Amino acid sequence: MAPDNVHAIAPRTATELSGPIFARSADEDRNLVSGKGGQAIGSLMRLKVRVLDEDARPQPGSFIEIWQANAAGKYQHPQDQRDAPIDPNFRSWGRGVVDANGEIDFITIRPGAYPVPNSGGWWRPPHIHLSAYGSTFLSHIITQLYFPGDPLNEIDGIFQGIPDPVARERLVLKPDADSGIPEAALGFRFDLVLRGRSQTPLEN
Amino acid sequence: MTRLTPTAAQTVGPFYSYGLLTKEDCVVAGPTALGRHIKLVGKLINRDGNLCRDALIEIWQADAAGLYNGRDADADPAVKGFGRTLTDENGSFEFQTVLPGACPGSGNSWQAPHFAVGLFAGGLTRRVVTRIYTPDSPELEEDEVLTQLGKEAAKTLIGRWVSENTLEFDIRLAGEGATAFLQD
Repeated sequence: MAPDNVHAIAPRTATELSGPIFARSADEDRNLVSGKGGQAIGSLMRLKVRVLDEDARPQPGSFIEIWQANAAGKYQHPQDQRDAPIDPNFRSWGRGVVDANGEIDFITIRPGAYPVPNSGGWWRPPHIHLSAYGSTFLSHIITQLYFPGDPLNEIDGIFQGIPDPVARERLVLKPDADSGIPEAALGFRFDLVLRGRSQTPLEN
Repeated sequence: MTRLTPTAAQTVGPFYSYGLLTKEDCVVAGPTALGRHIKLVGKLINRDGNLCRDALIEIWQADAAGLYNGRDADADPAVKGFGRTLTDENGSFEFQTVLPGACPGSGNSWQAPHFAVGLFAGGLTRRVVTRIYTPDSPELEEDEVLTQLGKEAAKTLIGRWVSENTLEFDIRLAGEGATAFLQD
């Protein structure tokens, strides 16, 4: 749903053109798979995210947060009541500030699909949630990243909720050997485009 | 020059609280911050009048002098300006902060003291944005956002003092008395 009571366009004042500055966090915050008891179960992958503005300029300082299910499709969240195994060596979140090239990478595993409760058989395709904060309060986006070729993508109500196939395709990770770790981790890339200061309002 | 299309937003989903929240995130201004220390509290209410739990609410504000951390060199370092919290099982949220000062707006105008608000909730396909004002600011009359909204819609952006240092503001997503949202 979208709220129907949008009455005015936000101006571009000091309020909108400033925004929180996030401290660099520890390198461990970008590694979701190194538990106390060993490596998390699942297909290891390295995800390289690059943050650009609409003019393809890197956006250093952007703050990225990701969260996802484990390889069994289970979230470490009290409201995930499904009887699927928790992986004690998998931490379901990562965060960090992108570098001077607008890039950041995370070591994680490919998440599993999971059933949506009371949905009559709907399973979410494997996906990684991502939040990105650019340089201003208005430049905050939350979205979901999908895996190329997964058949569940075609019937997922949330992914297909974006009507434009080209816009959907932009949420699909790109396999990229250079982003991987030889003989250890698959590589995937994701280019995220934040709206810039001269942005025109989104059609909704 | 290449023109890239902004990435499409998707719903925040139900399971994000561990990914996005730390306990200190609802503290916007530390104990040494200058100005009037207040609590900003409220509830999130949907179209049917039901309270919404587990929604992510973020605020961004100036310090007591109307200066923004990271933008204005003289801003109060004890005012981070940014806060983030989750509505609890009663749909309630609370921030600890200071009352922001008025700050310059477009042209020569002034903006009344306000909190910028961003809201993500399950079922919303993207973030919604609004502002919270206090009822007793002399700058309300000239504030550009309130002026653009018009009297009726502007009223929905004004909080109320429920105690000397507690400003209350309920966010109504839709229906009667719905909060006016701003297109970002």
